[in-house]
Amino acid sequence: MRHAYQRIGLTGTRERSHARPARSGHRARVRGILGMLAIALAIADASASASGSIRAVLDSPNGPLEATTFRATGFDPAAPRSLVLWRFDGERYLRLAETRSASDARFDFGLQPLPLAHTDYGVTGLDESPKSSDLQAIERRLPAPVVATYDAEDDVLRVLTARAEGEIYVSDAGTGRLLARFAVDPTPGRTLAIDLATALPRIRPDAIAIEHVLPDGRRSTPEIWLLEGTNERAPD
Amino acid sequence: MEASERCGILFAAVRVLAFALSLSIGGCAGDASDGESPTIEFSNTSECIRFDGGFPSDLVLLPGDGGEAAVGQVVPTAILGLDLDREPPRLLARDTIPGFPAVPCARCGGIARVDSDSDGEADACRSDSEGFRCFSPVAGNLFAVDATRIALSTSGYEQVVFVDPRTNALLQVELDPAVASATFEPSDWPFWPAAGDRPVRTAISTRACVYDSGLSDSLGDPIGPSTSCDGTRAGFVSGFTAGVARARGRLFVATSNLLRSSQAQFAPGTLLVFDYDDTSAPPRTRPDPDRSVILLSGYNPTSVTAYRTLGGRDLLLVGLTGAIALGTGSDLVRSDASIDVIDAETLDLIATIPLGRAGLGFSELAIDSTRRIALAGAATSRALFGIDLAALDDPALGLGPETLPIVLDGSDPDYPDARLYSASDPFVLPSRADGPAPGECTTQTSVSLSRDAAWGATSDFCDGTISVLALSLPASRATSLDLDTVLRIERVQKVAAPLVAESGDRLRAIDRVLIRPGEPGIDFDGPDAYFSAGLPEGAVCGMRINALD
Repeated sequence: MRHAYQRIGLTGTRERSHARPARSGHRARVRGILGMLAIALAIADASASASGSIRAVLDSPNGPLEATTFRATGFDPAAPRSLVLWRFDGERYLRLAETRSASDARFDFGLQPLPLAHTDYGVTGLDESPKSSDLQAIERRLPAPVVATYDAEDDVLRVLTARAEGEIYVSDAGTGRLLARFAVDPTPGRTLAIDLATALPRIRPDAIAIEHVLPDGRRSTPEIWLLEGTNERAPD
Repeated sequence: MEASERCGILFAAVRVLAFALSLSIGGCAGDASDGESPTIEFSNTSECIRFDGGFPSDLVLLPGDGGEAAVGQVVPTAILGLDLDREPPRLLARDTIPGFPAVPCARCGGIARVDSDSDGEADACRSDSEGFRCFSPVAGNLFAVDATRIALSTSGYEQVVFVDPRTNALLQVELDPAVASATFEPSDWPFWPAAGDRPVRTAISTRACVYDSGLSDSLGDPIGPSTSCDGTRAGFVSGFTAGVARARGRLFVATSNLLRSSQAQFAPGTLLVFDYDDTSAPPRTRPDPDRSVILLSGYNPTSVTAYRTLGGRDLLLVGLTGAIALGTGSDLVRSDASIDVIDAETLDLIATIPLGRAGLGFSELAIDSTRRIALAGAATSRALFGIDLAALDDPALGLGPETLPIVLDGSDPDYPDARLYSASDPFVLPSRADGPAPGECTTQTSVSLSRDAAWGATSDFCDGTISVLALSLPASRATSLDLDTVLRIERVQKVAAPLVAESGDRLRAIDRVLIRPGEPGIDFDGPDAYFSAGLPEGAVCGMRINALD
């Protein structure tokens, strides 16, 4: 079985659809056998859930790219019936909510939070496999890091990020030149310490841009932090 | 065919068969993007609502029947109201939640920045123009003023901002500061308007000049005049806004006054006092003109809990964590913890309950249904701390000629010893066998007690466990408490993964814990306890302790 897979920006302007790449060799054949078995199971299940093979589809959400929520509405050709909203995190399907589609084929799971990672959502009938859903990846803009504290005596910034992964890029806000990179440690540190005295031993721009970059390449808008005691430092 | 692949196929076949069986219980296995069979989280695991920002700043119940809560999302800042009658919890919001409004700010780099107090100027710009650098607000503690209004403490841009938990909309207050008097100097509140202006805003600034002679910081160094305040008097500017509580028509706001995080250097803790009149619309507020700042007995106050004695006296219990350093290790606690007791009417610091190098947790105290004990979590250890509230029953406590604050540690035979679990006698929680080694993760705990029955629950940040507590309290308040029998661990539930590398991207780093009031199965269906988690993303999860599936 394959997912029908869509990646949709919150504005709906980047909609595209692509099937997963075909698998090759004996693995694909074995998968095919397993797929047939799964189909057989699905047929057996059909007697219990006659409408189960008809996919419900989420609407393309509209809203700002910064929105932390989206309204999970859509169209269910097999309405009325009970539906489940799933989120796929790359390994597991997480059951988010249940609702019923109305006789006009519309459904509404209400407002749902929209985390930054693993934003693949799908809808199935109550007793259906989540893998039968049309997964939609809803993209969000990565929020800028937030400066939590600044120790002037130690010249240390502490910043908070929207996710505990990826890197922090520190650049010259004027020239864009990358000055330092820091890994965002996923262990319990709530803040990331940026030792400016160590990170910027020679170059001291007027202001630095602090950006969060996720492993998938998404890059936040910059947080700008003004530095005091500017000018280039003497070499050690 | 490689052996591992054969195993994979067999495993997949088993999963397909399991899939057929699982249909009867409401879910099925699916297909991961890499071709491996994924797993599905069923309702017998934690049911969570997941959101942005990691490490939620706080989690509180909203006033009412206990069916609603609010959680603080840190990046980007948002208050998410939660409907606990849904499983997993569902957002109370019905429309897309907007972020706080932002406006351009030229002096802080030219980018748009949040204007959370609705003065028309970016918070960072205002902060910089007052001499406090380009700080924007960072979400902290939550306090539910009522069911539709959350008071959110923010640091960086120091304030309490009012937010509707159903929409994340900013809510108005009218600022009505007093004129200068012998007890109130308007210039000591640099972010407040002049008397008579009465602007409508959405936040109250918690930057205030604090003066006293003989002040010293948590390292023992004397505190001299501040450049931001009256240069002729020793003092400092309050900051690092923490817990909030309400009593007697006032809001009480703790500020922990961190000076230098790398050195765990704090100025003395303070409790700011604001008149808060919500009989007008919007509510009207101002720093209390008679006593707007209460200097506390120690360092780093993080929580404020309103407590009404059985005799009807309103008190504030302020949890002073003590100076603590950031990081991991056994020596993070640098000064003693205590619980200060403030009379909400007279605004006097009437008593203090020393707890030693406890490192009190950051959430408000948990008070049992009989109002006999109050428990606190720990900021750096696998323990709970607590006090005997019977020591505060005397209606004349602190109203006599005695020197205040009275120290309720048994050192004075005229006063009771209010300590129950302190640094020298903590209530130690069990550790998880497969949890992180002590040197790998410095844990913290949070505790909640049932409002209706003699039980509670406490979370362990590093281990990902919830310990269910049974309380055994004497019928008479005159009976002293037995340290060994008051609390008992009934069981430990593994509700999240431990903070070890092997846990991968699983739910972990649990923090606040709540107990839903009422009788499970009668007053509500579904979970009777909730906890927040910080990794891999923010989450609030329900769990069943006494409730049935």
